Amino acid sequence: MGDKAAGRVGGGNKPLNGRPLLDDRYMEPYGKVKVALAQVAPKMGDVEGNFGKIIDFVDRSVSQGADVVVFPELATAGYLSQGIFFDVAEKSNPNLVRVADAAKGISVVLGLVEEDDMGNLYNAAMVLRDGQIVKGKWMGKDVTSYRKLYLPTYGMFEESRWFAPGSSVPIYDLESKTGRFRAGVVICEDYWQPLSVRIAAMRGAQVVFAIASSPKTLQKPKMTHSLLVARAIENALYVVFVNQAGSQDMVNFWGGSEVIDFEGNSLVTAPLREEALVFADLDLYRERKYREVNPMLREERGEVIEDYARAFKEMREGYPRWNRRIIFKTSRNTHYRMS
Amino acid sequence: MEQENNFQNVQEYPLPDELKFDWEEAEKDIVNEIRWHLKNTAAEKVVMGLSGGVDSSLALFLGVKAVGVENVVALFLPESGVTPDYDAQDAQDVARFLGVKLITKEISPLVSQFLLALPEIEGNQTALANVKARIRMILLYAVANSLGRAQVMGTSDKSELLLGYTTKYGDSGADFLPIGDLYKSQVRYMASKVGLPKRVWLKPPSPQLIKGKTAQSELGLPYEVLDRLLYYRVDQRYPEDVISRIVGLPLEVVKRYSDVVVRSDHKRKAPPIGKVGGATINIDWRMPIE
Repeated sequence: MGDKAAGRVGGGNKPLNGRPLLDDRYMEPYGKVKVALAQVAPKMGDVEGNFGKIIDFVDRSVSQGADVVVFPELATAGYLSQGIFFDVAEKSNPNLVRVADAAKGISVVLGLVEEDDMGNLYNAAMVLRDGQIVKGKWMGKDVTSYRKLYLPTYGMFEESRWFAPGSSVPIYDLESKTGRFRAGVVICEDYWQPLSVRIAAMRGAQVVFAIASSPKTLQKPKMTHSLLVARAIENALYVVFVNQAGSQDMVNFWGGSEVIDFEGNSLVTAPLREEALVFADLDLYRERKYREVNPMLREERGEVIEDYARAFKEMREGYPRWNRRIIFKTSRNTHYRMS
Repeated sequence: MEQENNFQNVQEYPLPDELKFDWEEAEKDIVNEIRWHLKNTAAEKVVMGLSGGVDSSLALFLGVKAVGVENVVALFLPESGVTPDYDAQDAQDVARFLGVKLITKEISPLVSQFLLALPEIEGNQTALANVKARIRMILLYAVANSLGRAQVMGTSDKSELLLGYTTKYGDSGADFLPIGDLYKSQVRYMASKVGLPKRVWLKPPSPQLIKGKTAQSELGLPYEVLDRLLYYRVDQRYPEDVISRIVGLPLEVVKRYSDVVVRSDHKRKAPPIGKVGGATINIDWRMPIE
């Protein structure tokens, strides 16, 4: 693609003595990516309406020259849809074709309900472009979706009731006007744990799309921002956070979508609670140069990851045994009996 | 009014430290929730009962902020001989402050008719008090139905809901409860911050179902204390003995209120359905409200 790559800063697969050093299959690490953050407020039960809105936001992003438009988690359904999720899956297929057709020269990252051929539902994301599903890569194989790894089932969350979990982090090679870049997708709870973004980063992601349906509490925007900043800095990559807006069953979905760069700066922030479409330019050359002196991924060590896996196993098997709480309770009771 | 004397010079309601919160953000959250609730349910108007108390005053304030004064219908539903004059005055003041036209409907004729039909309950204070709360609910729904595309806004707060200090299908009978996640003290604090008349957030809370009774006289403890107890029990899930130490109440007292919270759960839920098949409503068949 070399010559077509406008606005390139330098290096990379520039023809060397007229001979390309790398061919088109390799990513262009020096390009720019224009992302659109489509902060939509889906209406529960209105699948057609939700898809109509998605297509509208895709059209607007295309007209603004975006390379990628990112929608929130479960943008086709609304987050609290419960029993409606089955219908959403049923009604999605023809509508996904419409979105893919609308995605002319733009990659659409879409949070949706996916149903597999065994009847399992997934809280998933797909990338659509030029009438097709863009396939992700995992272990050399093509995959058609990213499936949420961590399904929160506590407090107000009951995702395990509706969805099966995914167990892998595929990677997407996507196009921008200046070349190709590599991206990962994570969904909401996935970035509350450190590993999903780290895995995407280790597989070469320069950008991670963190899509969410985050219900608002007074603390949540600040906590989420802190987490995303951590994910961006610890992996030295761009995090593109896109959250649902509006309110469902008197629960606010707080929006506040933002792009955070590898130094933890917010490049753009969408308004709280309201629907919005905002844009940001990612500079992958800047990211590359930043990584040279901040080699967060080079610093990762296999020994530590192995110990992580061991510690996890120990925790699950109940070792070391935590009995502090029992002692605490006993002493409290004793205290009151004595007093 | 013992509290009024204590707080005469305060400009905002003195909120216990544990319950402090970003009221401006909470206000925006609730306004957004009301707005979207109406949008999602294809409703345009809100019907609510304004008693002159702090809960309904704040709920009205938020309702007006969410959908505009022209879309909120506020009814003052006094009972002569029971509702004190200062509540009537406060309801008028709040309505005027918010620019809402207040509709007053006296419920005593309905209460009398009810007693004619069912004289057996006359001596039972609780039964009669609940009848009054339910009469108000019937009136609100009748107005909402006659308007069409209207939702009844309940005004229960978190303290009342947790203690079951509500009438089932009475004051808690509503389509949505915008301030149900704020403790009474937080409601009083927010009311003081948004500029509602001082008397509204300083006067001792009372459901005014039985003449002269305040919430404190019926609940046994003031909300300032109960709210801290409830906060540690529900929000923090502390065990009763730890709460007893923090709040400075005897363990038996903390246990008693803690039990009340659990035992009153039926008031906060739809009635349980006897299971026969595999798609029992609410147990298996779970759907969103909006």
